Amino acid sequence: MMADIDYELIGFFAIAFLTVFSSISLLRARKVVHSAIWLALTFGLIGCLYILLTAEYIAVVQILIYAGAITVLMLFAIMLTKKEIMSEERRKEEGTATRTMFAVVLLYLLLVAVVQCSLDTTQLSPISSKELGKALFTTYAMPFTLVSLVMLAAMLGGLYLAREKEAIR
Amino acid sequence: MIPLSYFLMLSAILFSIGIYGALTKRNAIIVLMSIELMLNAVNINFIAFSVYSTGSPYSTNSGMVFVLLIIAIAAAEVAVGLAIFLSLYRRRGTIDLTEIKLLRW
Repeated sequence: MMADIDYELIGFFAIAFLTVFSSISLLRARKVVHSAIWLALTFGLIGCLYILLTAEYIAVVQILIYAGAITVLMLFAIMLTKKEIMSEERRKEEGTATRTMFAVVLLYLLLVAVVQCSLDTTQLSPISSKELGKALFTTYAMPFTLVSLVMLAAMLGGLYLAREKEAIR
Repeated sequence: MIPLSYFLMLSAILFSIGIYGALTKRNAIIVLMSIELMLNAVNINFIAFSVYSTGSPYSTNSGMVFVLLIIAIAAAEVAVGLAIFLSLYRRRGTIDLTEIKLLRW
């Protein structure tokens, strides 16, 4: 009898590898526009991870908002700022080594913490979108309403900050 | 089946990549992208813990609700952040973070 091939695990490793690869390419890209495209790919792949986690509603929201709206917003901002800052020249700065060390040490500590905790449960308990919607409109109705206020404030603040001051005078 | 710790490890790697970008990059828009990456790593943690928490006394769907709220706040943050960069660009002609040190010293 052939050994069972765990397609879910293979899919997870493929998506995880691609996610890490595209997020590293995001930082390595020479043009900011390329970074934005890599960012969209990363967000889409993280949406696929949510589907693996049986969180289909969150996956759809992730792809709509992150891969759709936020990436387009980033592209607009890149195109509205000048062309010469679009390509990032590699200039050595003092302190880069320390900052890189900080990130590496953080990664090491996080991985050690995850391994030490031995959280290797494989038991999934899917939460349906229906349940989620009910919770959102009953238990969490207040935070849900407040977030809409935050969105309104952000919208007005964004408009106020980005408008042309001369156009109004 | 995928063990929970795999998701946590992936999230740790993404978070570290995000913090590396936020600390070392000079273009403000790339720093904002790195911050979004870090927020996404945290979201993966939330969803993983929320889905894998069978039988524990904390087995609720609050992790998912948290992720929805975080996504909304992140969208607001990007909108305001990019508006600030546009305004800054108009005033100073650059969004290079090594040039903008008005509030640092």
